[in-house]
Amino acid sequence: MIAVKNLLSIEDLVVRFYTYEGVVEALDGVNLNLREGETLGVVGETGCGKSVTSLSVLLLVPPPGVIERGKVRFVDESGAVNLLEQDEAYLRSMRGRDISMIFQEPRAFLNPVYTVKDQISEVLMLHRREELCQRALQAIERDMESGKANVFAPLEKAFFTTMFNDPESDLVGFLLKIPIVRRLNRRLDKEIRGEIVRLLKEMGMPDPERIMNMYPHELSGGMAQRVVIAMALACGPKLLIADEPTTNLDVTVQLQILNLVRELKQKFKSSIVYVTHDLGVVAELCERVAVMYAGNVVELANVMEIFKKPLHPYTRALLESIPRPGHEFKSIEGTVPSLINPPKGCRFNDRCSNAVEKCLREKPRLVEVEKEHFVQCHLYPGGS
Amino acid sequence: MGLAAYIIRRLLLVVPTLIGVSLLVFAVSQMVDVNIRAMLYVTNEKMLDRIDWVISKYGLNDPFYLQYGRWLGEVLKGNLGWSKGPGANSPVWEALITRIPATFEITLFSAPVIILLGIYLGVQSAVHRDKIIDHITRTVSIIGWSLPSFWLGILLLSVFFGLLPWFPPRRLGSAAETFVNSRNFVKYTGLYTIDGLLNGKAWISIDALRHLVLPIIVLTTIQIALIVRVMRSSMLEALGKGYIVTAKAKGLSKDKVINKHARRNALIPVITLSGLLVAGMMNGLVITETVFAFPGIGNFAAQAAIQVDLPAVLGFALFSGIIFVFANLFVDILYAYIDPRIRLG
Amino acid sequence: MSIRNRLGEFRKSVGPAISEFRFILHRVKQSPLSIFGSAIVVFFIVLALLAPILAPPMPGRDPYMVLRRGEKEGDPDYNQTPQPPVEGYPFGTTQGQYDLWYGCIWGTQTAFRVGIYVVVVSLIIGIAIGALAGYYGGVLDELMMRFTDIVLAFPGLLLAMAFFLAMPTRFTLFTLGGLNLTVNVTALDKVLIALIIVGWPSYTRVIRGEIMRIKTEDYVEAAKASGCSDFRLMIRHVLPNTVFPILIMASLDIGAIVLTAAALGFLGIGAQAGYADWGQMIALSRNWIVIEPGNPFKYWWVYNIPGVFIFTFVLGWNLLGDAFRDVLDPMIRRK
Repeated sequence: MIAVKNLLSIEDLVVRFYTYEGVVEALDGVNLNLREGETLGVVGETGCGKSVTSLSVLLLVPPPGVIERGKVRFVDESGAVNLLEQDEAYLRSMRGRDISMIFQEPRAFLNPVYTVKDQISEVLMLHRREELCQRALQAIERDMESGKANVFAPLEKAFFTTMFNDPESDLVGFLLKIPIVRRLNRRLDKEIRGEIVRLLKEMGMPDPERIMNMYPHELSGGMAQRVVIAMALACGPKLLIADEPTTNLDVTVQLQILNLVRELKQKFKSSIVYVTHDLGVVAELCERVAVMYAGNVVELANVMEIFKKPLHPYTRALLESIPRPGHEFKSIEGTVPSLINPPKGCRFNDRCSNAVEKCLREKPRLVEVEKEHFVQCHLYPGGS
Repeated sequence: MGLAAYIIRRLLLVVPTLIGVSLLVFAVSQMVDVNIRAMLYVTNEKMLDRIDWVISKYGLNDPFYLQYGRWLGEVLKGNLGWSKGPGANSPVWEALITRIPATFEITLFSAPVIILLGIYLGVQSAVHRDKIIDHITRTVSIIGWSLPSFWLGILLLSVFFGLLPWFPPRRLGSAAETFVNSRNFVKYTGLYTIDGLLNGKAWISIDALRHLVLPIIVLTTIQIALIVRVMRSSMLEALGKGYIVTAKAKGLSKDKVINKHARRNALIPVITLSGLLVAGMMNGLVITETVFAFPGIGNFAAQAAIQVDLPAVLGFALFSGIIFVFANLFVDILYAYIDPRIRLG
Repeated sequence: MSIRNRLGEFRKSVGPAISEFRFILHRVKQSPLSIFGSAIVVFFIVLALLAPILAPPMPGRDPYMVLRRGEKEGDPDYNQTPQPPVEGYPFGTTQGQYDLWYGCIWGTQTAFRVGIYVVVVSLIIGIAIGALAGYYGGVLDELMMRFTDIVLAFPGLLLAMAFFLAMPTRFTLFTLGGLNLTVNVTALDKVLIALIIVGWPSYTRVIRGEIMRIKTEDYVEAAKASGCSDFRLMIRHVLPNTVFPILIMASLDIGAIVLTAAALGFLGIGAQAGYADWGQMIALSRNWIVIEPGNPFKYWWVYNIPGVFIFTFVLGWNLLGDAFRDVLDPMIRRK
C-alpha cells in the first residue's frame, strides 16, 4: 500500500468476541486507509464488521470483544502513532479532540438527563479548557482596565487562573458545586455558551439559544443528530468517524444531514470515515470506498471505479442487487456465514459464482490490482 | 404536560386508592364473627347477657355499606377505635400519635444509611461485575436479607449488651429517661437526638444515639439487599446504553463516565424504590422495635397482635396504608421531577 | 392433527424456552453461590424426608405435635423452664419441655409445606388475575391493578397479622337451601391463608408485565392471525415463555414466606401450641430471651437453634433465586 499522506491506516486488524455461543471472528485482518481531506465510505451488509472496525480506531470495542492484533496508524502532531499501542491517558486526550465519533440513533447516544448545553460544554471543557479560560480571563482583565469590573473581579480572575493552570483542581471542582460560588463562573459560562451557539448555527440550527436548554428527547431525530455532530466537531478534530449516522432517520431528514455533512466537508476539508450500508449515500458523499464482507475488506477503490468497474464478485453482486425500475429484482444467493465457525479460505466462497477450488482452501490477500484499486480475491493474483 | 398538571392528576388518583385502602381494612374487621365484634362495645356485665341487644344497638348486622359509611365517618373524625390492649385503654389514635416520634427517629437515621450505603455498594458491584467485590457485596446482602430480624437483633443484643456494655435496648437509659420527662426538658421535636442538643444537654443526644445503634444495624443489614440489587441492575443497564459510548468517545475518564453519566440515569429507579422502602420499613420495625423494647408504633402493633387487640392492629394497618399511599405519591412526583422525560414528555 | 404434529408444534413453541433454560443452567452451574444454595436446599429436603427416622414420633399420635420430654415413656414433663441440651435431647427443650430437636426436624417439613402451599396458591391466583389483566388490558386491567395496588399498600406482615386475628376458625362457605358447607381451620391454616392473601399481588404484577411484553411479540401475532383461540394462545404460547421470571420469584418467595411465618410466630401468631413449626419454637422462646449483662446466653438454645434453621433454609432459597435472577437479567439484555 502506498502511504501517501495517509491520515489513518488500519493494517491486518483482527478482533474477536468471546461469547457464550463461541468465539466470533468479527474482524479477520481488516486493511484500509484514509487520506487527509477525503471521505472514505465503508459499506457492507449488517454484521460484516464495519461498525466494529470504526469502534476499533478509538479502542471503543465493548467486551467481550478483544482487539487481538493489528495496527491502527494515525497521524497526529508528533507524527504517526499506532493507536493500539498507546495508553489510556493518551487515548483519552485524543478522543473528542483529534478523532471524534458519531453514532446511529442520536437520541439513544445522548444522555437523557442532561441538556444539550451540558453535554456540549462537557467536551469543550475537556479539550478546550485552557483556551476558554484564557478568553474569560482576558474578558475580566479588559473589564478591570476599563473600570467596568465589579468588586468580585479579582476573585474571578484568581478563579480562572487556577482553572487554567490546574484543570483538575479539586478545590475548584468542589467550589463549583456551591451555587453562590458558581456565579464566579459566569464569564466562563458566557464564553461556553457563545461557543455552543456558534457551533449550533454552523449546523444550521434555527434557534440555538432555545435548543441549548432542551433535553435530548425534546429534539427531533434530525436536530438531535445535528447536536451530536456539533458535539463531535466542537474541538476541531482531524478525523470524524461516522457510524451509520443517518440510518435511523426519515428520508427527508437523511437528506438534510447529508447536505450538512457535505457542507462541513467543503468548509473544513474534514477527513471522514463514513460507515453505511447505503450505496446511494456512498455515491453522494465519498471519494473512496471500502467494501466489507464477513469481517474483511474485499475491495477498496475510488467511488467511480467501484461503481463502473467492480472487481470483487461480492461488490458486483451487491451492485446488481440494487433495485432498478424495469429490471428484475436480483438478490445475492445464500446468506452471510456465521462468524463463529467461519468458512476456511475466502469467506465468500459459498455464495460466489466464480469460486474455484483454491477459494475453499486459501484466503486471498488484499492486493493492488490497478492503480489505487485493491481487491481481495483469487481472481486477481498479484504481487504484494 | 407540566409538572403541576402531573401533580394534580396524581393527587386525584390518590382518592380512590385511599377509599380502597379503607375498604380493605374495614372488610377485614367485618370478617370477625359478629358476636366477638359486639364484645368490643361491652362495658359492663349486664351488656354481656344481652349481646343481641348490643348487636342491634350498634347496628352490627346492618348491610355492609351502612356499616362502612358509619365507620368511615368515625375514621374521618379521627376516631380509630379503642384499644384495650397495648394502648392501655386509650383511643387507638392517641396511642399511635404518642409513639410516632420514636419510630420516626429510627427511620430518620436508618433510611439514609440504607439508601446511601446501598447505592454505593450497588455501583461498585455493577462496575466491577463478576469480580471479588461484586461477589462479596451480593453474598453479604443476601445473607442479610435471609436473616430473621428477631434473631439478628437478639444476637446483637447478646453480644453488644450482654457481653459488652456498649449498646443497650430501649430508647434511653434510666437517667436520661427521667430527665427528658422532667420539667427541665422541653421536647421540641420528640426526637431525643435533636432535642438533646436543642436543650443544651448533649449527653441526652449521645445516650439516644447509643440506643439507636443496634436497631439501625439490624434494619440496615436486612433491608440493604433490596437497594443494592436494584442499583446494581439499574447501573448495569445504564452502562450498556449508547450515551455511555458517546461519553467515552468524548475522552472522559472512566470515573467520570460512571459517576456523571451512568449513575445519574441509574439512580432514577433507585430513588423511587427508596421512597417505597422507607414506607415499607414498617415490616422490619414491628419486629425490631419489639426486640429492642423501643417504644414506637411497630412495638405497639406487635403488642396489639400478641394481645389480640384487633382495633389497635386495624388502626395501625390503616395508618400504614395511608402513609404508603402518600409515600407512593411523593415518590411519583419526585420521579417526574428528576427524570425530564416524564416531566416534559 | 396427529399426535406427532401436536408434539412438533408444542416443541416449536417452547423451543426458545428450552434453549434459554439450558443457558440458565449453564450459568447457574458456574456460580459457586448458587451451587451452595442448591446444596442447602437439597440438605433440607433430605432432612425433611428423614424426619420420621431422625425424630421418631410416638405411634398413634399426630407426628406434627411436638413431644414433650418423657412423653414417649409415658411420663410427660410439664416444667415451664427450658432445659439445656442433654443426652437424648440434643437440642434441649423449650418452655413446657417440648423437645427442640423434634420440633426443629419436623419443623422442616412444615416449613416446606408452608412455603410451597403459599407460593403455589399465590401463583395460581396471581397468574389467573395477572394473565387476564395483562392479556385483555383496558378497564379490566385498570380495575385489577387498582385492587392489587391497594393490597400492596399494606406492609405484608401487618396485613397478615390483621387477617389472622380477624379470621374466624369456622367458615361457612355457602348456604344452599338447608345445606351449608362449613370448614374448620386450624391456626396453621389461618397463617397459610393470611400469607396467601398477602402474597398474590406481587405475582400478579410480574405476570401481567410479562404477558404484556410477550403479547406484542411476533410469534403471538402470527398464532393469532392463524386463528388460535385466546385460551389456547395463552396456554400454548404465552405462558411457557413467562416461566422464568415466575421461577425466580417463586424460589425467592419461599424464603420470604418462611421468614414472615417465623416473624408471625415470634409475635405469637402462628401454628397452634405445640405444633412442630419453627415459628412455634420461636414463640415458645419469647419469654426466655433473657439478656442480662454478664450472662447473655443463659437460654441460648431456645432461640438460636430455631434461628439457625430458619436462617439457613431461607439463605439456601435466596441464593438459588438470586442466581436465577442474575442469569435472567443479562439474558434479557443479550436479546
